[in-house]
Amino acid sequence: MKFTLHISDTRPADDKAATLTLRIVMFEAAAEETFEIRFNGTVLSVSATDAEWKDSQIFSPAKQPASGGKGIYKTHPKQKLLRLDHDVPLDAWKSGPNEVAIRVASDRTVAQIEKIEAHLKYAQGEKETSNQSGEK
Amino acid sequence: MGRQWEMREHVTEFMHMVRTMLLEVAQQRSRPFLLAARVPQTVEGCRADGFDLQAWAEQQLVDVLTLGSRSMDVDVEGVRAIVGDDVQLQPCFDDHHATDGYRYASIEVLRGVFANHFQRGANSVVTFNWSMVMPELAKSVGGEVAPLTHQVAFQEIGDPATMAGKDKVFAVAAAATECRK
Repeated sequence: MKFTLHISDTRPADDKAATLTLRIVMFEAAAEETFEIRFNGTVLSVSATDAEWKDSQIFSPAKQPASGGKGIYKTHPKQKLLRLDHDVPLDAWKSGPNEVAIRVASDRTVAQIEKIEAHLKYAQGEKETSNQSGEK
Repeated sequence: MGRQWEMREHVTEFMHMVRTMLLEVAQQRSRPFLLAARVPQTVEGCRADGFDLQAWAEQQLVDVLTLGSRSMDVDVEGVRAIVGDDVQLQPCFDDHHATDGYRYASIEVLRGVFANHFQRGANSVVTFNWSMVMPELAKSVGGEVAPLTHQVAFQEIGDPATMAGKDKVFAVAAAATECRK
């Protein structure tokens, strides 16, 4: 499965100036399962795993609710998400459209991808000013 | 239903009528009266709705196109290729009917969304259903209290320069899908 991920910023001269981390959140996947992740063809390695990841705006296995409403989201206590972070080498990404390819590499035949994000952090970046989605 | 593209000349004619009326008003008041239209975020979406953007541009029927609303992924390049440089393009982000999974997103996500719009060729950007008042005032009138990220974003998202060098998160809109072996 391939996805297009747009990145506005220009690649820095060296990886001390900024780092890019590809985050993939999957529903009901186990930490021991393996996935082949490519970023513009470069195979990425997992740098961090969180099998207890929670996200109040992911509703699986329930249907996605209609948009709008009060905007108050509560995480289901039994929600089971797997977060996989991958460091993206400096020469693997570019400004503009980038291709993210995900392939199931373990015994399972199907995995459900919930979110794909690229986190660009600058060495001189300011502290985060808010939490992730769903929290005011 | 389903014949919107076939019937596109009727929408174009409507745009022509509005444009003619605005040109008359502009002449009366001796200053321009620009016309903006809100359309889907992709060329395919516009076609499905019967909006012939190429005809609008060729006949100079519109000055500004506001693109999309719910999706973070706006095909600015595709629309630009159709309408050329004389039409201003301004992608829109609705934070009430937001992209699934990203309502009240972090400032890093919002920077990623709007910086991408500019990188893809937007002339300006639009927010829709964002908080315009301080939380205390919203509470006093029984309104919805939106996150403080909106206030931070309003100071940054209008220009790529104010987002340059700041942490960002770039997300694939509606990534939720099955991945097979």
